[in-house]
Amino acid sequence: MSWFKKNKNDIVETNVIEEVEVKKEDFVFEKASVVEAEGLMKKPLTFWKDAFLRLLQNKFAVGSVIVILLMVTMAIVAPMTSKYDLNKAVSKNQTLVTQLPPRIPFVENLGIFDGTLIKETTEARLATDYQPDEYKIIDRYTRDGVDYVKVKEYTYKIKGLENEYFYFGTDQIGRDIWTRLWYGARISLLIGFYAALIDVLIGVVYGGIAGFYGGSRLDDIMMRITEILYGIPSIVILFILFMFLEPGIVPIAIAIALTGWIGVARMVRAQFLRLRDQEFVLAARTLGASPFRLIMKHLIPNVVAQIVVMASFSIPNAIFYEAFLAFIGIGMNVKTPSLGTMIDNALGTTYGAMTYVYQLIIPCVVLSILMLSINLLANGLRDSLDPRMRGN
Amino acid sequence: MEKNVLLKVDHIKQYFKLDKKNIVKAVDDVSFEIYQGETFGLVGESGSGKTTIGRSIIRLYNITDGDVVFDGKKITGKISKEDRSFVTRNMQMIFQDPMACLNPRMSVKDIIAEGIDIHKIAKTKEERDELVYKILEKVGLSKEHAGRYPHEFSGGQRQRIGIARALITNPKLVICDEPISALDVSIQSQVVNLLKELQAELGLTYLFIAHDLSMVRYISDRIAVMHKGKLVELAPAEELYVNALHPYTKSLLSAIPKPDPRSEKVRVRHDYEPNEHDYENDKPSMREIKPNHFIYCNDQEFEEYKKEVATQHEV
Repeated sequence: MSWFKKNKNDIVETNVIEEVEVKKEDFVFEKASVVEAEGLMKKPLTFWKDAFLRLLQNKFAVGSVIVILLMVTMAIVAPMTSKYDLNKAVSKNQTLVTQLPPRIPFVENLGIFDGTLIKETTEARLATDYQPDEYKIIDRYTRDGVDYVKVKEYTYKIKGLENEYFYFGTDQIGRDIWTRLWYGARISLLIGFYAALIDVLIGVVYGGIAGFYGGSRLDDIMMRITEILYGIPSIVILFILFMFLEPGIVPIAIAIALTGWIGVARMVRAQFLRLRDQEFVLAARTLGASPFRLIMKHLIPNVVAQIVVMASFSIPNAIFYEAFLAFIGIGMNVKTPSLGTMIDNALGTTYGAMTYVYQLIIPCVVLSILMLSINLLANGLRDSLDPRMRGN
Repeated sequence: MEKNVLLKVDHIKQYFKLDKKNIVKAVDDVSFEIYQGETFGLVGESGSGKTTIGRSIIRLYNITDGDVVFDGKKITGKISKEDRSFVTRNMQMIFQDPMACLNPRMSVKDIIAEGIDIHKIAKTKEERDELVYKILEKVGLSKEHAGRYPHEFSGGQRQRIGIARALITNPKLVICDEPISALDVSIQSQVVNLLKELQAELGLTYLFIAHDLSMVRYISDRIAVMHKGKLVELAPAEELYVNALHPYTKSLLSAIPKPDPRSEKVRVRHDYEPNEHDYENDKPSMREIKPNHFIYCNDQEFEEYKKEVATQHEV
């Protein structure tokens, strides 16, 4: 048949098309009840199972989970099993053993963490400073006409502690860094956890109410309040807050969450606005669902994934923010150290001289690993919970 | 056949405020009645307010003015808790988008059982399951599907789930808001035939909103044509297709493609010019030009239409 051809001559042809008679019997009724007999071999995957399987395929995320679990375990176990006290300086023969370098059994044979310090002294004072078997000369040089020697001193031997092992050494007043470090990690983790918890609790309730009544006067007022809060520099609020509060885990977490929940609230509101007019919510409304049921069964479950992602990103933020607060002097007190206060303290002893730099490096490395792994996990969670958001 | 009015829509208006000055008159003074057991088709172009009427009737919007009377009860404005429960049980809706109308986080069983849970229809968990399985089979799915999630189904299957959800409370009136326009043609006929079967079996009444004119003709008993928030013509299905009077209806009908190359070749599309009506002094209203055939016109047009009716054949 050529009636559809554009050519003019062909169109003339269309007039001679055969009559096709269409009878009713030619048609077959389309069956209404056709059950697709598909094989129902495997159990249906729930949303969370599916996300979990996807997360397992992400090597970075799995590695991060292992590292985080290890850190959490250490944060719980290490301070409890350590033979040194958190705040009491270690003393030997009535003298405090301060500034001891790190020393770890077995690892010391490899030349690291072997309980030695690199120090600089003059040729003249070498004999008075050290016994002959307490040092090893690394380098000799002359500066401004004075002969200097760089020595590696066997600190543990000098202090008469050959049988002791302070894994990460001691600080300037003789407290065991290993104990304090893991205790600090515990505090930092708790602050991160509490801050995320407060963020989510306030953010979901606040954003949920604003979103559910989106477009109304109430929503308007609530969102203007968040904008005002957002506009106030949080550092100022913190300084005022700590004039009244003793710094502790909860006050610091509250201080961090003071503005942290705004992001969560905005996200939840936006999602609620999007979901509120979706047909499945309308369907529930035509069935007579109460606002409570709508929120709990239809809106929240569709936002949980994003909430989890936001919360997991806010943990490292809170940890870092706490470290920053400690650094500017309004963090945890010295008796309950966090990673931030430890870094702040160590910086005092490290200034100018690199001799005791281990006191600074160790908490910094632990902080970095912790933040990196939580961030990687959060990234993995985002990818597995919301495949459309997958980063490159 | 005795005609019982199930739903009476009486001069409803649905205006939306854009800002302080502008309002959108999505539905402007529309009245009609739906009889028990019939399928009432509502057609019109995009933005003519068909969906808005459906949603206003089922109380998703607070209507600006007018009354809706359902089964003898006024259901607009503030109503008692019992009446609200009566409406939500007896009036249900089937939605357009099979992708968006099912909650992706709920299993099919929970989606369908939502009406049971809200109205506490089942006393035990077994009874709840039993009801869900029964309705699943009724819409052409099997009970193995109950534990699955919406994303595992095709569009047609999802629409069946949506139908099952609407029917679980045993409603009297089902508002079908373009239930087939998002499906491909072969599935469309499946779903429409399913709706017809269910209507015969359960004695349902449909308000069928669509823009596919041939499908509406197939399923509807009476058809109302909407344009810009107003009803322009209302007639029994065959009557409307054969003896359309209003120029807008004629324009719509002229746009239906025919599965026949020869008549398709000579088909002429009529454009509708709303300005051709002169409603300056002579105000229009809905008038019955012959039994059961209503048209929106003023006195002068009414006379012209009457002349036209005289030339038409009876259906």
